[in-house]
Amino acid sequence: MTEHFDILEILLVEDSPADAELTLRALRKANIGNHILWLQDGQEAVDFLFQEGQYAHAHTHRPRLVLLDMKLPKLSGIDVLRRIKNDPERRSIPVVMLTSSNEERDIVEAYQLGVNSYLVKPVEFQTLGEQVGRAGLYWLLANRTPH
Amino acid sequence: MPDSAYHRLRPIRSPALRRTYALAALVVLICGGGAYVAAQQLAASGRSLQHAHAALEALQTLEIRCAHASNWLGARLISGDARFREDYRQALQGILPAIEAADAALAEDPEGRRALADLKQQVQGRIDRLPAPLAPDTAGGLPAPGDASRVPALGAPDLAVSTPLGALTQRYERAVKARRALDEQRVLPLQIALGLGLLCSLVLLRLSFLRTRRDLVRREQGERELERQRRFADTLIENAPMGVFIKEAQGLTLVRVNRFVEEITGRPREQMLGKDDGQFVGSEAAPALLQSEHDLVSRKQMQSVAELQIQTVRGCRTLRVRKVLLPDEHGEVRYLLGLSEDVTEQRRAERGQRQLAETLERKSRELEAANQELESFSYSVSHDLRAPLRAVEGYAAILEEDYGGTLDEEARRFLRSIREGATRMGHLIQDLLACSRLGRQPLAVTESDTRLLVEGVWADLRGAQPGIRAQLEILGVLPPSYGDPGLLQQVWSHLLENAAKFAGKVPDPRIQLRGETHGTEAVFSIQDNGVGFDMRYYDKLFKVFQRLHSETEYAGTGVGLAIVHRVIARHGGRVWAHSEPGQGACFSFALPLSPQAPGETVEERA
Repeated sequence: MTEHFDILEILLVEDSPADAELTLRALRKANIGNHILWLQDGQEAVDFLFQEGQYAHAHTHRPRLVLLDMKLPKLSGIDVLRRIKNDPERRSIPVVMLTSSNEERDIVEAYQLGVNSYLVKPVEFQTLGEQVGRAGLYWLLANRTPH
Repeated sequence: MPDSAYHRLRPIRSPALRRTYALAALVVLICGGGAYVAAQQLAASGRSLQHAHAALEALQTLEIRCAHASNWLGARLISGDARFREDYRQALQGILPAIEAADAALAEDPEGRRALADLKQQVQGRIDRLPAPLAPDTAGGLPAPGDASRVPALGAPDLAVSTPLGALTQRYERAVKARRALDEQRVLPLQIALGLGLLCSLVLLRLSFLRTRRDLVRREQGERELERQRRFADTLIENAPMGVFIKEAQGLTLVRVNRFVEEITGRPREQMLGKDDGQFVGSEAAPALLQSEHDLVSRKQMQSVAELQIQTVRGCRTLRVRKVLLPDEHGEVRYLLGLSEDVTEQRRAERGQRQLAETLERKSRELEAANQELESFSYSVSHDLRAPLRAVEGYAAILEEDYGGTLDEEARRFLRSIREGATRMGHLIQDLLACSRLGRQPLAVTESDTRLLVEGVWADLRGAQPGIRAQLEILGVLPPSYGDPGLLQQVWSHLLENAAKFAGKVPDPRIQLRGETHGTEAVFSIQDNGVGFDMRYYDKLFKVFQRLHSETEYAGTGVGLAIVHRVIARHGGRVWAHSEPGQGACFSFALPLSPQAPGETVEERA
């Protein structure tokens, strides 16, 4: 899955394997789980997106959607968001925060940095699946972004 | 002592008065001198007049004697009686002493004396020529009897004719008359001058008396005023509500202290006067203090302010002392004025305040740290506690989904229980976080229309829970609510949800809502006709996770009323409830009507 960079639709940045698996399952159930890259920490996400570090010489694709957890090792979700939204080329990539944090200040900060959506992960798998599926469908199929 | 200065009166130096005195003296001097000279002149003039009088008298006596002799001679010649010759002789001889007398009177008149000497010679000649008493008349140069042509007229002073006696007499008569006239002329101006001088002197004397009396009265008034001022100054110094002391600038010893100083130091002034401050501050601090005062005096600074500790019979006191130099009218510093306040209590209170402030600051820092810790704890809880729950619930769901078909009913029930437990715990965490967030987020207090607020909440609630059967009745007009609308919505939401929930199993569930103003509060109450609760457990009602009904009977986490309590408390209000089992429940809360009052105090408490 992570080896194929030819076609990339969703970049999922999530440190919890369980959450990642549940999310991926939800996306697959919505039939948008085919071209997904899962990265486990913020630094790796930034390296991938900006072709730095271990991805300096790799041929990477620009994802059509980034699903970003808030609490991540090394760089936090907010830091990754800031890098993306401060970059003129990558600013237009839709970023959806997918996080456990229901804290107002996190939501405010994310929106100030220019997040496209903010979803609070519910405990119930069914609800999570519905939300993720809807978001994926919306951003990948309904929404238009510049290329 | 400065007291002596008050007694020293300036002498009266009035140029007008001096001029008046000088003028009076001059006038009196001139008049006196003039009078003296005039009196001298008059006296001299009187003496010469007296001489002239005496001379004139002597000359007139002489003339009479001469006339007398002529009479006797005439009688002799007319009668021819020889007896008259003797009388004539005697008369002639009587002339001689009169000549002597006149000569003495005319001592300073040589011309007169020559005439007298001439007369004396003639008389003597006649006497000599007279015949002896019994000799015939022819002898002696007498005219012959009957020779009437040679008989001098009766009474005619033939002797005088033969001498310049008459002229002399006339001269003296004229002289006496002229001198009298002169004296009279002299006396009048003198009298006028004397009179004027006297008058002037009297006037000036009167003026100077009046002036002196006025000055004396003024001086007396001035002294009284000065005395009054001195007493006033004394009273001021003595009763000033601060320590006042005066030191002599050279030796820096106390020359005056007031009652306050006595009170501060606890010593009578007799013990302090004449000594320096060493007696109060102890031997260690004394030299520095004296030096600073010397510096003050020598540098001619006008004041110094210092705080010093003094030993008194009442222990160590802190004084705030302000010293100023007191120069005299020549700018010479003679005294040092000190004003001191006892700031012991003030400083003690300040120290206490500082300590209090430090303690407060420390507590506040601790609180801040605790708050931050709590916040990061909540943050962690929010993130990390729910992730495993999601795994539990999620994988159970997947298991059910993917392998549900191969499991029996019992196994599927277990899976459902696992998922319910996880879901429930997720809700608990969610509510707990919401509850803890209430205390931290700031209040945005505004006035809201309570009816609109309630109706909005009720509509949302019914939208989210279509199973609600209860009817909401709003009775009367609701007073406005002052508070954070978002938080008040939560309050109404929890209270209405509770009411609907606990009335959910009665045939005709109803919720009645009332509101009225009591003094400075708006009081709202929500009455339902549900199961109610037992007042014995009232204490648990508003505590987090405390429930009075089982989960299977009525779902809930036990956080709702805790949130209500917390929100109302943050607004400075109160919440209470009343119920009996099976009789429904009535929840009430009161919100302050003043829009300002709540926020501050409540935030502290929260």
